[in-house]
Amino acid sequence: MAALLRFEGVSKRYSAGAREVVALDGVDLTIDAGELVALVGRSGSGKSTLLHLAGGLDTADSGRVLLDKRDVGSLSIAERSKLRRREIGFVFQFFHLIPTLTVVENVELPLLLDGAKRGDRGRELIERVGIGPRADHLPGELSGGELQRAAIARALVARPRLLLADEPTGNLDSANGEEVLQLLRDEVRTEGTALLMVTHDADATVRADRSHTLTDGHIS
Amino acid sequence: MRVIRLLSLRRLRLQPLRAVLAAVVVGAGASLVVSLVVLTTSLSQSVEEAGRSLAGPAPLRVIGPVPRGGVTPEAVSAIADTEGVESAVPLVQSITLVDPGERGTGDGEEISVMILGADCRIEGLVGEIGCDQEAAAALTVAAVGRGLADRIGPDAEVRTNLGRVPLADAVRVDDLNALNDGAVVAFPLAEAQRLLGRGDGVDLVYVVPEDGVAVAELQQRLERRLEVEDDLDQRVLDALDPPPLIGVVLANFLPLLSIISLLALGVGAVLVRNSITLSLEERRRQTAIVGALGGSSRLLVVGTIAEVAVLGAVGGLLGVLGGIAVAEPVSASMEDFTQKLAGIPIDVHAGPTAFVVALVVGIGVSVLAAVGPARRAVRIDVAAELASRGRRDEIAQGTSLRRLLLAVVLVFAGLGLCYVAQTDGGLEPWQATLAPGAFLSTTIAMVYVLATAVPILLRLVERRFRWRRGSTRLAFANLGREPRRTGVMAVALGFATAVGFITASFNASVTEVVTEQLSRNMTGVEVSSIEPDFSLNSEARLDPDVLRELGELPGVDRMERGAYLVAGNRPGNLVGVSAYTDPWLAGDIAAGRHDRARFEAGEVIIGPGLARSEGLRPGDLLTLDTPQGPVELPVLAVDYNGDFGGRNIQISWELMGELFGRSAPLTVIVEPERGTDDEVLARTVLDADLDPALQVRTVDEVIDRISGEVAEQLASFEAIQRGLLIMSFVAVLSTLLLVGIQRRREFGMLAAVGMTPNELRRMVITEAALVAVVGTAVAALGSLVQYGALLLITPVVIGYRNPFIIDPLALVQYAVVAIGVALLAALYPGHRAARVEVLDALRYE
Repeated sequence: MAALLRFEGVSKRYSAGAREVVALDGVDLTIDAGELVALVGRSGSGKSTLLHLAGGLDTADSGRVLLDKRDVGSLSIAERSKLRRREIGFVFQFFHLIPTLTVVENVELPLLLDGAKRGDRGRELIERVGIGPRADHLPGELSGGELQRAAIARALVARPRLLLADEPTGNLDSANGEEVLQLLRDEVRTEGTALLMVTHDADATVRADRSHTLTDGHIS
Repeated sequence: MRVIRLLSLRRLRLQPLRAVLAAVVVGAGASLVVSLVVLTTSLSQSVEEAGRSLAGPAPLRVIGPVPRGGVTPEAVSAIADTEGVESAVPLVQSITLVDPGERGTGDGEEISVMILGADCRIEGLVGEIGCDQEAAAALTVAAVGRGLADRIGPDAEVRTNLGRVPLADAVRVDDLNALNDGAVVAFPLAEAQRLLGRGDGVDLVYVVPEDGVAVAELQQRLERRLEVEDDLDQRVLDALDPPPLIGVVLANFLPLLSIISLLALGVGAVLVRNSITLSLEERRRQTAIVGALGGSSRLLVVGTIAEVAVLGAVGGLLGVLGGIAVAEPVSASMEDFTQKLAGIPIDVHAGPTAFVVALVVGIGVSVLAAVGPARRAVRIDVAAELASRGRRDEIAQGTSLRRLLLAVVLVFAGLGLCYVAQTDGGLEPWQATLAPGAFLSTTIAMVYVLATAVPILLRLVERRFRWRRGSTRLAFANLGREPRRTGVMAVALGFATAVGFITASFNASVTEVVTEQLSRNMTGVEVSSIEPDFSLNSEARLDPDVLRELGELPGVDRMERGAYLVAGNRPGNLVGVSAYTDPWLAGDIAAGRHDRARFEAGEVIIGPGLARSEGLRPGDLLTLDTPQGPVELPVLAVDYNGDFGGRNIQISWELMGELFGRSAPLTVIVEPERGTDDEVLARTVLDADLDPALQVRTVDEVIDRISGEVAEQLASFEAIQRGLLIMSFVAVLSTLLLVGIQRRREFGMLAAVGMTPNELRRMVITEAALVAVVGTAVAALGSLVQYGALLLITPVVIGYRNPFIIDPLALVQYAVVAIGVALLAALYPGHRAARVEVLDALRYE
């Protein structure tokens, strides 16, 4: 199977005051289409940094991040935005839904940004993630589990080739976390999307096709 | 206190942009109120300074029933003989023009000066100067102030009612520089009385008390003495009391300015409330943590109020600067009037009162605006907030059609009251009280309509059209779901548009009335030797020789003369009296009828202000102060005539001569013989070269001239409108910036899901553009209603009745400016949104 996402010797450093923090140090990683990869590691090990580099939210100091053979770091800000809009879906630990938009509007947001006409895709996904009755509610009226389902629906709405999930169950109780994991897995299978998931959750690693551990910027 | 400093006040230091914005918002709101204080202080201090300069040690002055020569020689003697009076100094004091001559400095334009007449008794004011009464009485030479002497050539002339008087031999007196910046010409008293047509009367008498005599006591003694000696209405003023006519200046400027200031302050308060709400919303987590750690509600409320009070104080001080900036053009407009009226220049003074008012307004409005949001903020669900489940308040407030309907009903109720205020001529005192209140309530309700209608309309527009661009859709969603903020921006922009449009339309309406009246009634050309707006108190009248020669020019059939004077000596009893040799009797009638025979027989036509204040109706007797004492005149009709605030009387030419004597006219209408064209007549008059200052205007030119005067009088409202536009800029800028700060995480999320920086920028700018377009559209409709309300109350408040004529071009022009202002204000917030750091924003809490 062809590699969808490839990290080639990627390094990233941050300065924290006078101190320099090595977040990633020569990381190599490949994820194929339709694959679910879990990334674990202690807090500060560089997991989120790796995810942000994969999504083009940040750029590497050295090395390359290739999405379908395109060097993400060499793209302009606008090109990276469009890449995220069309080919990458994000699921955040804290959901990050827009409070003033209804659930369906939040879910359709990436389509909206692309100037697409309103269709049934958003509502279909909302039904699929099990929060159909909440489609016209505002985020403030939803529970944590419902919010994360809405966030997953939003991440999937543009039929992305890569799904990036940052602690998707980190803010949910175990029952809700279980359901969300199952949902993600099902969607990856159904849509053929690659999923890179940062997690602390042992259950999540079990459900993954493979898992990697990040320690002090090194991947194993 | 330390907790408050840590939790609230430290925020000001750590978030300087937000603090500056909030302070600027308060400052913008406070500046118009402060400008009112600055204007009144400036006027009263300038009047005081002018009074002090002239009066020297005299704490009292006596004025007669008419400003020109109203104090008789008997009254002067009575004053001098009153026990406790050290000296009584009679003066003639008025305004005229000086022709600087060809060798004068400057552009050769005539100089407005104060003209004085005094005799040796002036030593009572200025000290011993070795004046010889007999020699002084024989003198005819003038003295001029240094300020004037430096600007005139040897061929300069001063204009008087008896013609031009050369100033070649004038004596330069440096002490006169203390008056009217030195623009003073002084004559010996007898000569001034002769030149200015005062007979043996004087305009006022300054009174210096003997040592140890209490001023208040002497004032009462003088009043009693003058009452016994003379039944003329002499008035004893404190030397620092403004001339009664100055009250007319304030009466013209202050009421509308006050209304606009209050509304601007209201908009400022809403802006403050919004910024505080945003700030509190943003620190929900902090509030929850403090609550969890045992912080009391009181602590949170007091902390917020302390923070807001600091911002309000800084904003108030900024308001002083803004107030001075607004007061400058308005005071310039007032100065034009006061200098022509009384030779008093106005310097802008921002005294301690302005600072105190600014602080009180700034802190008061801010604290009042913050109490509600602060109390709401402490009612959060602490547990839910700490578990990140407490974002209930972020659920957008719904827009309420019911509220909009209520506001519309209130607008119509206000309109109804405006209508009631003007029924039957609006001549009842209660109608004068009701009219401004009705207009204010209509305006407030209309502001509320604007604030509630715009978010609703935006949602309708959003649903009606399929917007393809994501940034546009999001902009609609943000505005529709944050109606309060949307409303504040809409009000700020719409208010400025409406004020501009109403001012321009009112101008057009007045011009239409003037055009219609003059086209219908005036034949011939207007001839004067001064600018007609410089007419009320001026002594630079048409030279009698010029008048005679004018009547003898070929093509001249006859000359129509007019006379205008002020009677009364208290702000409450001043009346403008006018008479014409051929009165038009063409004004709008509020009560009674125009019967020319009865008018010529001595009945009078009065203005609505006078009818209302004195309870006069057709058939009643009006008491009028004259130099011979009060006379009773039957009222023929009440006309919608706003001259002199509606306190005016039109009497026949004969009656004017009988009661006040004949004085040289300021202006005459020269009518042509049959077959002579107005243009030809105008050319004939000019070619005759009767006087270098002679001005000749055809009907069209008179219309242009009066329209220009009206526009000049409305200039202060244009200045306010520009101030409101600046406030709109601040409102849009601050709201979008503050919203941008609150939505930082949202922007980060939008960027994370693929929104480009340009799209983020476009979204913010689109929000401003949408509010501006829809806001100005609603404001345009609203301003038509407001304009209707204004026209309903103008016969009551101003005295004139004006037709509903609008200036649509002005509406387009001001709407375009408002939209431009909104877009300009949105550039920086848009730029900030585009530069959002995604990762920082997503971590932002």
